[in-house]
Amino acid sequence: MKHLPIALALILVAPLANAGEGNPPPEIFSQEKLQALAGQLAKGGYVFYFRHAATRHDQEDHQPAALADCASQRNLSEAGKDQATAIGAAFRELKIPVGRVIASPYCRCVDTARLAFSRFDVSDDLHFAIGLDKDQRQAKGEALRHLLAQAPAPGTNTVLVAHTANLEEATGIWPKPEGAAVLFRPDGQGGFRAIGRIPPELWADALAKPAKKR
Amino acid sequence: MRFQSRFGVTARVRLIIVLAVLGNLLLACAGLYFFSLYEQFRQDFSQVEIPLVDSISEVNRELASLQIDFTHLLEDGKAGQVDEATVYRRGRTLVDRADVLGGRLAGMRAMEAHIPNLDLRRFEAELGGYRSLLVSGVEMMSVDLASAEAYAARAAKGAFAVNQAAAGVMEQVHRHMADDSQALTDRLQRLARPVAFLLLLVVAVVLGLLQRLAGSITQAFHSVRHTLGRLRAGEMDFDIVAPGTSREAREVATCLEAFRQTLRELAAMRADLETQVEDRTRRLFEANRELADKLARLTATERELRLYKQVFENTAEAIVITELDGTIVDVNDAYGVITGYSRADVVGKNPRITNSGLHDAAFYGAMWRDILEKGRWVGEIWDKRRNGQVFPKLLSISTVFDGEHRPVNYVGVFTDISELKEAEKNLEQLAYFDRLTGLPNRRLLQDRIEHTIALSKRSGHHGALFFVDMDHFKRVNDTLGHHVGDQLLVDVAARLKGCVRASDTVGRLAGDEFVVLAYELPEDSDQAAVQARMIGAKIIRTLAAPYDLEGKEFHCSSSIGIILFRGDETGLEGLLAKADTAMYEAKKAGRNTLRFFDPVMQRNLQARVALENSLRAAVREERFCLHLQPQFDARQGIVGVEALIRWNDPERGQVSPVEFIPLAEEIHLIQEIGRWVLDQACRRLKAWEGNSRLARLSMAVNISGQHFARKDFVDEVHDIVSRHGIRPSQLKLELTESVVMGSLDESVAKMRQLQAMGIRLAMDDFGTGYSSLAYLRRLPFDQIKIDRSFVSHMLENQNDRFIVRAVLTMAGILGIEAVAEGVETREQQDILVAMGCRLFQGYFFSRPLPIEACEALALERMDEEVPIV
Repeated sequence: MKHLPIALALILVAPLANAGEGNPPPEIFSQEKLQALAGQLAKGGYVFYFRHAATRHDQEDHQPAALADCASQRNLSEAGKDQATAIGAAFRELKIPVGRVIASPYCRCVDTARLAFSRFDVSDDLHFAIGLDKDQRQAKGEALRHLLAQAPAPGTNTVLVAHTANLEEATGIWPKPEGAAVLFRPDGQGGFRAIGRIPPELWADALAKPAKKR
Repeated sequence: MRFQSRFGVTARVRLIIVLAVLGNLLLACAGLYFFSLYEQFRQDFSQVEIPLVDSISEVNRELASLQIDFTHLLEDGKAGQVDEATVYRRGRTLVDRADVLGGRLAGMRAMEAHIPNLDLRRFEAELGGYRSLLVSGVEMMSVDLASAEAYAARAAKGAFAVNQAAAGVMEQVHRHMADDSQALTDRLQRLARPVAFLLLLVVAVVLGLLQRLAGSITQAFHSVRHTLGRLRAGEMDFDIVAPGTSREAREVATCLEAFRQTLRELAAMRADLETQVEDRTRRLFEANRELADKLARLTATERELRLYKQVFENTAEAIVITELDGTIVDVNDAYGVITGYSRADVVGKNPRITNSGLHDAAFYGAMWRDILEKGRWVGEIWDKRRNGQVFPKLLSISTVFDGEHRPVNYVGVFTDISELKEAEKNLEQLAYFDRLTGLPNRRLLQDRIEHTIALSKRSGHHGALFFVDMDHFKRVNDTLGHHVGDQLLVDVAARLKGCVRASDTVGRLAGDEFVVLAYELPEDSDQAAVQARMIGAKIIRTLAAPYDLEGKEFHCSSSIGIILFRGDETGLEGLLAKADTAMYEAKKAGRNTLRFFDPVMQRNLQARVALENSLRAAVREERFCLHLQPQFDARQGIVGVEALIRWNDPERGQVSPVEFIPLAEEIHLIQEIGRWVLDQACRRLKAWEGNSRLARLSMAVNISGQHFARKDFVDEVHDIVSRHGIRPSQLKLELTESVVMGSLDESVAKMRQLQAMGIRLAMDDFGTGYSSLAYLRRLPFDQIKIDRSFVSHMLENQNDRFIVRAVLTMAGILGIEAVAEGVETREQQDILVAMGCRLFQGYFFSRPLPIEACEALALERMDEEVPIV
């Protein structure tokens, strides 16, 4: 019993701290959960981190990356493009207000952001960390943590579109599969909390289900 | 030879040393120069080429390790053993390691300045390519694990390309190193040839000079050795030649000349000395031989003297040397030991001082005649010691003659033969006398007795033989030890001798048995007996006086058996046997007394033998019958009987059990008698079973100690009981205390076996033995019988009354029946009843009766009794 205070402290603090390796990954949302949270999301204050939508596996990124030349990169597949479109439609359907949209300079991220939300900024902070050296990689992780902790403009949610490695470096969470999103909530004091993971198919389903309900 | 004559040896040696030093200097300079060239080459190597080669090797090694880890990652991915996140995390580490390698390669670029033709660019490019491959592989796997397979071949190829590039660099470095070392070799060779030539020249010149110098020195040595050799050989007159022409050679020649002169002087001195020494040596030798001769003669004489002296001093025989007139000149130590006179006492005196006076003048006259005529005398002679003791000695006297055969001294040699004489006497003593007391033994006694018998027969006087035995002598030996016992016997012997006339004989037969033999007692037998009794009484009185044994007063009485004889006896053993019998009678009469062996005694003995024979016959013929004495309860009812044996002999009539039972025990007939009684008793009991009243009676049988002690006693009782088929509870065995006390544990065991069979046990004569209550409790008796002696004196003796009361009380407490025996009067019965006694036996109730009479009485009495239901 004398460890109880310490245990309580850990439970309270853990979500606030960077979700590093070793922390259990956040809950995977079901459709019901997403629907239930929709009201909350509509009020804004959340950060969506998207891994770009599905890509063609017969393509591979040139090393080092030539960002201007999409032909030297792995690009969205047709299914990926449909995914991106569905994400945008679902946001609108669920009335989730979107503030800033920031994408990695890679073509597959830019394409995902464009297809979903039509508008976006590109930031080198979200450059794919996988081919970088150690210092650069850690710098990308630090930059992403900063983005995740930044509170969106009131009444809006921020959307980030980037890669696996960056989120892994920043939080130890590996977004899987392509198109998956991780929902964060900045605490307004320089930290953030991982709320849950949203599988990509939930967006398409969200579009279908309310229709049935109606 | 010109060279030799112009310079001295020293100068030539100096020249050679200078040349050798110059040569060495030349060699040292060349060596230092070569070393500096080599050092520069070595520095280049250790600072540039070797680190470079090390680095490349290390990069290669790390790359190989990287490739292995990458391959593992690819394989794990292919097998689906890892998830994408893990692939990324492990891949991230691999990329970092590749970056470290890249850093090392960049560091090596600085070396390019030192090694012409070195080109690391291709190496770097290949490593960069490999890194890209690594990143692509990890990226694609983190998207799709299945893509791992495609990267395995590419990664291997990439790693190989990096290796190839590394090998190229190594090749360049090696080539550069080979060029450098070739250049060094060429340069050294160019320099080494002239240096070597110059050195060889110097060495040749030095060797040549040394050769010449050695030659001249050897020649000089030869010359000097030759000269010294001639001098040693004693040759003096010849010209000494200088060993060469140098200054040193001339000086050597001068020295040799001086040496020759010294030698000449020495030779002269030595010749003179030798003459002197020879002369002295000869004279010394002669004197020495003379001395040795003298010494040898002296030593021999001294040894001889010492020998004679020692023989004289140490011999065990006494030796006396006298002048011709008999004056003692010398005696040895043994003389002193034997006679007690010291040397100082007797020298100058005449040997007559030890005369014993036992020999007359004629004896001595004969002795001197022999000495004068034959020169010697030998014989035994009695002499006297200084303390007056006379002793026998074996003496031999010889005359000592000088060179002209004139007598000069007499020598007497003698030994003390008193011990020899003593030993002879002891031998005789041992044969006829008792060793302890010195009294005549059985053998000598026999002689004396026979002699006395013969005397008495001739003279008609009586003789008397006293057989004396100490009472309880064995106790003395057992308690005080044999040593004290022996001392007592010695004292007894002395007292016995004091009791009789000197002409009477006292002897010891054995142990504490003594015999006194007196003769010349009166012819009249009554008077002789009176006198013998007086002697016996005196002996008893004397021996009864206290003894002083080791400072303690001690009393010991004696018993005496006496036999009178007057020639009509058959010798020692017959007399001794009779005296012994008489002595035994004395013991029986309470000891410390005397008994005569007379015809009455004899008759008693014969009567006993006859009784013994009758008893054997009685047992054989079963001349016994049982009488029964009833036992009554307080209401005069008969409850049981005691079986008592009766012997009705055709010649003797009724014989009392008191007379024959001890005899039967003595001659071991008691078991047979006991068995007969048991058998009869059981037969009777069986017969009673047919009558309802008699069947209630119990029968008590007395068992003797000897019978009970037999190992098979219990078995025997069991046999008899089962043979007759009686109820064991009706049989009661009466045992006395002394019967069971012998071996208590064994007895108790037997008693328990008997009780287990159902037989009852009674303790007979209770109160006469030890009667310990503790024992009584241990012994499993069913009944005790209070001895008649207590009952009969109970009225007048309060103690007896108390005892009876105590026994009755105790029996009550222990739950044991008590029977009062020997009840003869009503008063006795009344008081017993008052004390709680319930069972009685005795004349007051009934004497022992023949069986039929007893049965009739029982039936009559039991008629009166109310049967107990």
